[in-house]
Amino acid sequence: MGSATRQALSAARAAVDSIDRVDTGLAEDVFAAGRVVGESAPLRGALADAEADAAQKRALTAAVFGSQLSAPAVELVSTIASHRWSRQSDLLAGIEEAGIRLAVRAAGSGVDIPAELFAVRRFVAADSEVELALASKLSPVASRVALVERLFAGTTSASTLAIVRALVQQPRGRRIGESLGRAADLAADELGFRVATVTSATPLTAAQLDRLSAGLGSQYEGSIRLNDIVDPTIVGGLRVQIGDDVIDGSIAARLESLRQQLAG
Amino acid sequence: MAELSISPDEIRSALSEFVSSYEPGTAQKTEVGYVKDAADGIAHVEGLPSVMANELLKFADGTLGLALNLDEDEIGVVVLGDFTGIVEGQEVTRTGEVLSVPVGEGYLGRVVDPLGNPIDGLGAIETSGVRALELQAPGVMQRKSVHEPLQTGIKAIDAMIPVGRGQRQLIIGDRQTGKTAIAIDTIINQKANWDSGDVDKQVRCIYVAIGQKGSTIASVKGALEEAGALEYTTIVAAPASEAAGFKYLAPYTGSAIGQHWMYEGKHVLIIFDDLSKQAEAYRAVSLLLRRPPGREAYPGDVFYLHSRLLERCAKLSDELGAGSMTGLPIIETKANDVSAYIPTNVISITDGQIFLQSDLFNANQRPAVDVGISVSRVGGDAQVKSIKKVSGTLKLELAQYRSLEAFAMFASDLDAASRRQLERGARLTELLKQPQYSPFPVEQQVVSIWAGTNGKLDDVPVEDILRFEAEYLDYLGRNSDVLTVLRDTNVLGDDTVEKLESTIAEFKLGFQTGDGKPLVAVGTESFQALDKDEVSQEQIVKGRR
Repeated sequence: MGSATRQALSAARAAVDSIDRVDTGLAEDVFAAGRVVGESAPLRGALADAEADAAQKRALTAAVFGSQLSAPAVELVSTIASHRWSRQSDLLAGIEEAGIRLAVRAAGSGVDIPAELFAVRRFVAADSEVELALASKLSPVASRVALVERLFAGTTSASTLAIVRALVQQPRGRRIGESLGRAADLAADELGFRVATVTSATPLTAAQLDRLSAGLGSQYEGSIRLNDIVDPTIVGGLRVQIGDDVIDGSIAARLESLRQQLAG
Repeated sequence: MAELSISPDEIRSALSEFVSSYEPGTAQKTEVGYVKDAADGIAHVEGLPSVMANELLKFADGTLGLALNLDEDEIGVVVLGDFTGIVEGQEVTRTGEVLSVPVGEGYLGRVVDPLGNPIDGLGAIETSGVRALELQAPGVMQRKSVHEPLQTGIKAIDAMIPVGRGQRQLIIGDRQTGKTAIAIDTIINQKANWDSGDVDKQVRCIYVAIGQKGSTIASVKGALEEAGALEYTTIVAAPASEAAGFKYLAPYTGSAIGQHWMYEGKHVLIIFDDLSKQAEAYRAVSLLLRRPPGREAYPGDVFYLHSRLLERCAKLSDELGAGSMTGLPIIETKANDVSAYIPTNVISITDGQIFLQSDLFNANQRPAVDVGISVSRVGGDAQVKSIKKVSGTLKLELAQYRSLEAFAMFASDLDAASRRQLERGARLTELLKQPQYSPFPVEQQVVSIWAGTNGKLDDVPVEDILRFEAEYLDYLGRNSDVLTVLRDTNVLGDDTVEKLESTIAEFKLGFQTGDGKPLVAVGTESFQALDKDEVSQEQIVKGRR
């Protein structure tokens, strides 16, 4: 990630935080704007042009989106576009991130968006047909969106649905599992905690989970929320993944390392 | 024997103590990444944000990899070993180790792979530490000029293109011109030094085989074993069947093992056979990692690849123990073209080169060293006094011979001086011939070259030169102390020369040429006729019964 992008991302985050009244419609508007920018190479090129004047870029976004989107959405998108981005793809990622953060805020405190996204990810990963259908480049976008709505409408909140729909509509070259994971991380970040994925052979009790999250909290900054998976194939013990780190105390991993030592 | 009685309670408490003291290895926090794609011995890995350049990575199936390209969002990894088990999405963990190999005295006499693991089936190697592969070469203040000779045992080389300890001398030539033979002869010639047990004389040898046929490596090992030279030699083998990553690393492994000895104050000889194959392996790795290709599709840092490797061959200063590492890199040319990219690079890095010509080889001049264009930029300082004294005119005489030879092809009438020059040249070139695996000790070289350059061989027929030389050296060894004096003092004094003159004259009297005639005409023996009355006659008469 270039330094310009880093700076622009923090500015975009500040712009999202400064909006007072947030609803799902605003997030949808921002996602829609991202799609338009993604689909039109000339527009993307103009907005990501590092040399162009910020005021000009604002004028351009206002002219393109002014009549279609709500005023706060146009204002937010033009603020995001007015910053310098290292690469065109970074601009798209920035708009998408703003949309996800808005969707999380729109859901309010009653809904756990990261957990829902995590559940969606698990569901998709478990069923390879769904995974292929959602990632398919051959099927039209509308049918993919219809599939998402058919599967997740009702079982998940409106915000989660909006995020998943946006990710399916504009995959930006990523696999669906990868983009869902990234969205879950962003959602957790917006709510101010980190997600640790805990895999165990048998379901953990609430007391065990509390102890684990307290233990992890002492090693990592910020509060930790746990997503627990039951996977009998690890035989016993725990495997915790947090960001790029893995703490693997599972029996399966120990057996594997033993096997490699014997073979070597 | 007393009855052993332990109460069951005691046993139970001991066992429960044993069980409670068992502590499984605690879970470590490790960073993981995932394989994005893998093909042709290269894998791209995402994640692992704090990986170091040249760090060893471990794939979930136990295979090792080397992180070469650290990009913004992925790592280019060269897989070291079998890459069939590597699949997309596989976990990759860091090892925290920058690529390094174990080193130590235990490596002598062993055959190892480029990670330092034994492959000769002789069990584990006792090591005394590890050494990183990518370490900077000794700096200017840590070095000393090259001043001790490293005898190759080959007359043509030791006399005219001498190699010093700590020098980098390139051996270059077409395929099948005897490049490896020179290297192997040099290793075998260190046998006497090794047997002397004197650390200042001993030379530990490392033979790095890169991209060679397995059968060639086996035959080299066999030749060394037969000559008793394997006990002070390490073979680092990366045969043609190995992955490109291994072939690229093998020379660094060899030099890491050698550097360890060098810094202990010992002398090391390292042979890279051959660096053109290493450059090709590195080109394969670089292209697969999508590094931009340059001339002949080699990557931009192919010069640095060889310069940083060869710069590790050095003669260390006395403060650092005065150890040395002599490098004999080998480069294979195509159709004797030394102006290709890799040959010119390595020529410019090394301190001289030994050119082997396929024409000479085919004309039965073996070793096929082209003394005209072979040079040694350091060696003269490193020659022993005796051989320096006799070989001074050798190169000049051979040069004159070659120019005259070309001229004499067309001219039938030559003046006596030119004819003498031609005769002398023919004998000198004959004298430089030497069969494989038979290195000459330096004192014998001195005697041979003294005889050649001083015209002592001018009356010996060309086809008898090598037999004359062998028989004379044998005669000299048994009839005088010249060879012992030369070996011990390394000086060719006037009294020694006198002894040589007298012995060679004596020896010639008894020498028979190839066609059965004596070399020196011995004159005729004459006898006077008998007097008449000294002659009597007897008659045989048939008797009667």
